[in-house]
Amino acid sequence: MRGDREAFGLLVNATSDRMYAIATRILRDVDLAEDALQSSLITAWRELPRLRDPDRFEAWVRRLLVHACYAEARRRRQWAGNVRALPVDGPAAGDDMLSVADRDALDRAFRRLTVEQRAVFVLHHHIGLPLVEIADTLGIPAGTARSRLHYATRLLRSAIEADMAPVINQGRMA
Amino acid sequence: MSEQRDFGRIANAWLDLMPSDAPDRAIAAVLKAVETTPQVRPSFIDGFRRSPTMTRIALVAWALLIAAIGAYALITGAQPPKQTTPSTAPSTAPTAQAGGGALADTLRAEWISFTSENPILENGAGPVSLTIGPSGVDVIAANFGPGLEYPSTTTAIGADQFEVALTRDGRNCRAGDRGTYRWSLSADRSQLTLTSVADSCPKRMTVLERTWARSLTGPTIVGSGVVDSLDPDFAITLPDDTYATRTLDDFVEIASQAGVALMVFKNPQPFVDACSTNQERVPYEPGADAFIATFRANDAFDVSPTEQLTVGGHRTLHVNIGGKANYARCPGEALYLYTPRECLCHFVVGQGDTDSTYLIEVGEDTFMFVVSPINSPNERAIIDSIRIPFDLPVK
Repeated sequence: MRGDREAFGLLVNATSDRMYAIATRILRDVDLAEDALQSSLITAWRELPRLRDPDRFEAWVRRLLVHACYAEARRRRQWAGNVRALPVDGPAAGDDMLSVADRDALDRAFRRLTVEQRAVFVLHHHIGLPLVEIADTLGIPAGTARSRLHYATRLLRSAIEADMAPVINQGRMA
Repeated sequence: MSEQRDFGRIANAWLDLMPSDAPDRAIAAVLKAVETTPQVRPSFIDGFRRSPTMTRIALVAWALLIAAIGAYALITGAQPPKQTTPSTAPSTAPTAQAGGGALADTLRAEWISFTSENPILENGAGPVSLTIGPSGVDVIAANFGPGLEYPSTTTAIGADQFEVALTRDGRNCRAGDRGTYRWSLSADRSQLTLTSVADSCPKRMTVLERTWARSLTGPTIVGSGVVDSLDPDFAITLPDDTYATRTLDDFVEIASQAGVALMVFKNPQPFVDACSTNQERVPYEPGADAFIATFRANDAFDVSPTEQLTVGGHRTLHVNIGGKANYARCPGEALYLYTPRECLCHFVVGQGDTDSTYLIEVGEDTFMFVVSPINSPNERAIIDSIRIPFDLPVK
């Protein structure tokens, strides 16, 4: 049992940054992401004897993580009522093409997506998983994954496009 | 195609803004939890099908033995051995003990206290804590000094006592050292008093034996306790539920499974423009009147008439602040409200949504308590229960 825990500790250290990155991007909240990470890793430890194929560990734990993100997002909906804390500003973008207006438009549009749509978008754009693999990870039909990605992409793209002219007209930029 | 590629680059750049390094404390918490978290066994049916013949025979024999013991108990009316009756009843009746000798669920929480300078522990004065783990089978102290954490397993022995056994060597004590403690909860279950019956680790007795206040910033199923993440501490009584919290600088949110949330802000500072992402702040003015006046002057919000109260002896103003429905300057968008003065964060409210806001003036500071949803049946009782500042028990 001691050896199991040590081996699990190595797996945690090897995968936790990638998992945390997924959770922060889906939830847009570092506190909730930390909770989702912890909850999914503890579930992984508890359920580890049921994992039949050790080579599938990362995909399996990623699935646990996304479901933990779903739970955290629902918990936050229960919690926050009307007043909401938005994420603290992250580090400056390394890409000059991302303006403050883009960031704000994407932040606002992303919050309108369901957490299930967010998960597909993040797994596709941040991790680079193909749709078939996303569907396999999340346990959903490929068509469902495709439609979630399509909806999310359409909403986020239209948010950026819509933000350009009206923002300047309304004088919302400094 | 180029539009597609550009969107992908923008989306990736935006996604990269969020942090990617898991905090060390999160990893440490997982590895600590794993030490006491049992693993599931593969399902009995699966195991049975896969097991070799000898194991199957052993399993059948084991099942028959259990059945025989059950039948014997039914025939003879045998009862399990009774637990020791406590000699002194605690101030509230303890809840049923969980299986396996785990401590009562009302005890599972983070408990906080204030220790005075103590030559036995060789430490100075300061806040200290005691965590009884979520499964009720372990306890650990914090902030007493190196080697004074005394991580121990716990076993309930009767309605108001438990035994502790040190899990690793601590200052002047060896792994396995045992002790027995009597516990009692205050009538509102916000305070836990531990009294030593015996302990082979005397310094652990000096650490544990004191009155502790329930922290509401840790997991708890009891809603009466202390919030110590703001300065000063305050005490409050929320309805019993399963609670979780999140904190930012000068901000804490305590939320129940039932959906009632309490948010507390120290020295809230409004934003100039409810639609602007620039988050320019109104120059800070102390006091509840100035805060409310700023919102009354902002056409993005609806503000109810002010009600004046006294909470914990402090002047308190109550108003409902809501985002104006269909606000024309930024239709459909959440409206920027305020931030704690010391926090680099921002809070928003949806258009047409309203929250109940209590501003309590404590010396030069203003503490804003927001209860959500509005008109929650317990709202006024929650507010009336606030005691700020609250002094932790001292020993």
